[in-house]
Amino acid sequence: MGQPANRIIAALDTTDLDVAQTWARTLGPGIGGSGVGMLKLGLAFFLAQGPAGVRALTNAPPFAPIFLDLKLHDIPNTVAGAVSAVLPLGAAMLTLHASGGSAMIAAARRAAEAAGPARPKLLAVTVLTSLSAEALAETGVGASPQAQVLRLAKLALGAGADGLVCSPQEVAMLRAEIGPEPLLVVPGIRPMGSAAGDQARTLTPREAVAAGADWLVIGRPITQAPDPAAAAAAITADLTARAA
Amino acid sequence: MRVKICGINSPEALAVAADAGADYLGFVFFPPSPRYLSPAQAASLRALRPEGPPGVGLFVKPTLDEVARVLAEMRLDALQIYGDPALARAIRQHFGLPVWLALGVSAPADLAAAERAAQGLDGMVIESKPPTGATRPGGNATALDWSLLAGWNPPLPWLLAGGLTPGNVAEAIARSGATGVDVSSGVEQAPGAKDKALIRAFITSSRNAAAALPAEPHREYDSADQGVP
Repeated sequence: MGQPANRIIAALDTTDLDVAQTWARTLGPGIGGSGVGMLKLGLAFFLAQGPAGVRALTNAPPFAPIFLDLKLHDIPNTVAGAVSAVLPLGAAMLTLHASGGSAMIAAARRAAEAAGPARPKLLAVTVLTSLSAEALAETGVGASPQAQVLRLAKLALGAGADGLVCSPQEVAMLRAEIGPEPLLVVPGIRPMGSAAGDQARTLTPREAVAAGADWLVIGRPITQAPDPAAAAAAITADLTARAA
Repeated sequence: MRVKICGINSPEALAVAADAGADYLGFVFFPPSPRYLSPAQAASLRALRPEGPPGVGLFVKPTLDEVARVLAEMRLDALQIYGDPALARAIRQHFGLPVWLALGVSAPADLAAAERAAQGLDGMVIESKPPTGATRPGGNATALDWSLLAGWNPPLPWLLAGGLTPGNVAEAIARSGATGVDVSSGVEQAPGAKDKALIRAFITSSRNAAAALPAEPHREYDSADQGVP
């Protein structure tokens, strides 16, 4: 997988089409490549606006690549049907739950192959970052979250996933375990200077890339900034300076 | 979407309305109505589903004693009053229960008048004005010009009533923007004879129509947060 020109995925976390379109125009890859690399649309947007809402973004300038974060999870036939159903939207990446099992992921991969080389990359979600060790145990998983992440990561990649969505704490561990090829897409990144969360649990964009992240999903630090385009550009500049 | 099935007068009607998800059950305490119940009859019906949907008592220009006689027999969760706004306020004051005032509307000016009339009360039941010569109040199955209500945003909750049926309630909701509907004769085979299938169809149609309205305002959220407290 070639290194993306811009590793930032802006999460368009809204159910409002007008807001999403404004963010897309502001943040998408513009003339001179000033924008972010990709735009993420989630389940809430998709359910509120439907495929037509996605097309409204993809069919208008700046024609940004779309990451459809739908986290599919069902029996293999149904997930395959869902993947087939969203193929016409031309998304660059699509998420599904690794805990759906290897047959489900393999079925999703077969369905995605129908789109040829431009098919969406399938990213597996392992353990939801909202699940603590206790919450995971409640679901019957006795392993630690980290062990379960690794188990599901290997299962998913073995079954045909192109990469994983993982938390900042898991990037280095996963990159060491899965090798250089699979994509690692990392949400929960807090740019330097943005409102500090629990610093122990997160990474800055630079740190995440150094740990092995291919893509960084950043939502509010960009979209809720007084000047979203400037916020995205500042993060890009920080990452580029490191590479130079 | 709130749905009130009014004129509940049989155990079957009560069970169907409750099971189909009615938000309110209306009991009519107005003797000329074919749905009239004595306080004892209403109490025994209500006792079939004590934990069922809230019960609303419908009274037409009642005396305080008439209301008190009903409340001595059964619990009511709200009182729907036809009559003078001052009477409605007095009833609310006296019994300490929510009072909904039934108001007739036939022209845009009636909306502001309705808001003034219902000041200090808890809700409004908006009906088409009774046709001239009607002996009974209420919608009497006359449909209001629903678009009159479009965009109306009064300070009190209100139910749309009058002439609603399973067949027209979706259009009524779409045109009026009502977030609550009230039906009685529209779910009957004959005056006073509630029909199970019509009750079910009315509730389903109301809920489906409401789903097509622009419900919640669009929101922003945070998908990239880690979610770990």
